[in-house]
Amino acid sequence: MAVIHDVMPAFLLLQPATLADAQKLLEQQGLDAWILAGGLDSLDWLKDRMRKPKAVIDLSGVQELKGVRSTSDGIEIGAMTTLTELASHPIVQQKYHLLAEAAEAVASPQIRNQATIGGNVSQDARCWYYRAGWPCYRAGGNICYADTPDGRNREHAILHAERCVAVNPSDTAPALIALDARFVLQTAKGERVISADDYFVGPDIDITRLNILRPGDLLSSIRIPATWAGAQFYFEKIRDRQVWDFPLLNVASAMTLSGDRIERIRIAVNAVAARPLRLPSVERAVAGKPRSAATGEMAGNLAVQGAVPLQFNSYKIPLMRNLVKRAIAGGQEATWTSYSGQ
Amino acid sequence: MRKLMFVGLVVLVAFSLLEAQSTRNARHVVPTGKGWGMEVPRDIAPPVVITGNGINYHGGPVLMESFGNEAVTFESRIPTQNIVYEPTYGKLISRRLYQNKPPTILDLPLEMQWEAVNIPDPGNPVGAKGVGEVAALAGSAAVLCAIQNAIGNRCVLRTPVTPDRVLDALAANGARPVRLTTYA
Repeated sequence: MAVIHDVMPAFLLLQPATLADAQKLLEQQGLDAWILAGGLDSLDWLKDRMRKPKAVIDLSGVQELKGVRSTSDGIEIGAMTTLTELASHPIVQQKYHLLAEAAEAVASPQIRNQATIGGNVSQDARCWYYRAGWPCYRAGGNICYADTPDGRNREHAILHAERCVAVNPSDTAPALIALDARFVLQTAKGERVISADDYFVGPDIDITRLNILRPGDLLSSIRIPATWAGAQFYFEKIRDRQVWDFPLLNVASAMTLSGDRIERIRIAVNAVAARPLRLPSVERAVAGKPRSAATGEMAGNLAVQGAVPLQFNSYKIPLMRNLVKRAIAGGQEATWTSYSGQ
Repeated sequence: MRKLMFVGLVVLVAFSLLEAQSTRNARHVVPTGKGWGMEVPRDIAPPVVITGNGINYHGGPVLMESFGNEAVTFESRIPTQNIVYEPTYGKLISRRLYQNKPPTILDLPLEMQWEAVNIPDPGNPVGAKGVGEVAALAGSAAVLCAIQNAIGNRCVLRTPVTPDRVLDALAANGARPVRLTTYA
């Protein structure tokens, strides 16, 4: 009998109405539970029958997880807030425009209407070998199909590869790192608040996941402090087509200026490694320097140090250098540098 | 039985009409100065247009515009559509639409232009030629040839043609110390 791959496996659908109920269900189901936020990442996994959870916990009915709230120190974004709502929220647009820009760059309008911020930062790797069920390191096997002489790896990592060369595909993640966001996790041991930078993990720490969420853990909200409200922001995403595409590379920066000099800065890039990368060496190097093309050039060269290209993705090195340069100097100031300048 | 006879009759009539059409002399649409064939409102496309000394089908300006835009849309597959096979295992790995990337609305030009070539096809009894995807095939090749001409004799023989692939073709010339290899 033919195997039908187009039908989802049967599962128990659980739809809690409160966060407490959701946690209780997660605890009850343990390893059999699959958390469903917007469903954009889950759909592929379930429809391809690559994942066969016994129970799916649908968070769409949990009102506590939705919306953007003002706090005494900035804003708190519920993990189930849709990207459309986030991108059009007045406070986000006014004070944290970087995040609005990043959210707006995700996929297409229809997907943004359904996709959530929690799902966007927690989505799994999009490596086509891994997603198609090839038994690679990340899937529990003992090979990386992308990192072979003939492997198709144009979209893969240039930094911090450790057996797996998949990249983190999130657009909002570097923006949240640049804004010094805090992620609020609900765990079996209680609430835990961690920095955005610490939420993501590379294959050297855990090759089977892109973030620190363990079974039973739940990302409930994201807090953005007022520290960077109204700062000078820069976000740029490079992709093959202008809509509905994951980044080949993206960059986000937040900076404050004192005259024409850079006072403070946070900068992060994504789609170059299995986790979004904050660039502390670049931040230190440009602090106190004038915001100019020369500073951007220096920052770009510093950012790509240590990058090791695979067979088909060397273009990501000049791309990253140019994006960092533009994020420091501003898109108007910095012209693209030819790859021959290396 | 009656039903069968009726169907047979319909098929016979249809074939006789086809034959009549195929013996007609080849004609083509004549430009009037205000568009092709007779002047018609742009939102009404009569299928049959009387031109000069014969009857010809030209579909009307709206249809032509629609097919012209379709041709451009097909051609825009060149830079984006990404069909990738794993060479070692021979399996298609760009299975999902987000992986094989057909062009979307934002990848298309805001304004598209089309032009009908007023030369009948001698190989066709009515002189008709294809529009839409048929024209796109030639268009895709023309764009690839234009890229080839622009960057010299460095092969960009396969689609998609993305900026990194053009850079790769330039680097492959050996003049650059940088390795930018990408697959196509």
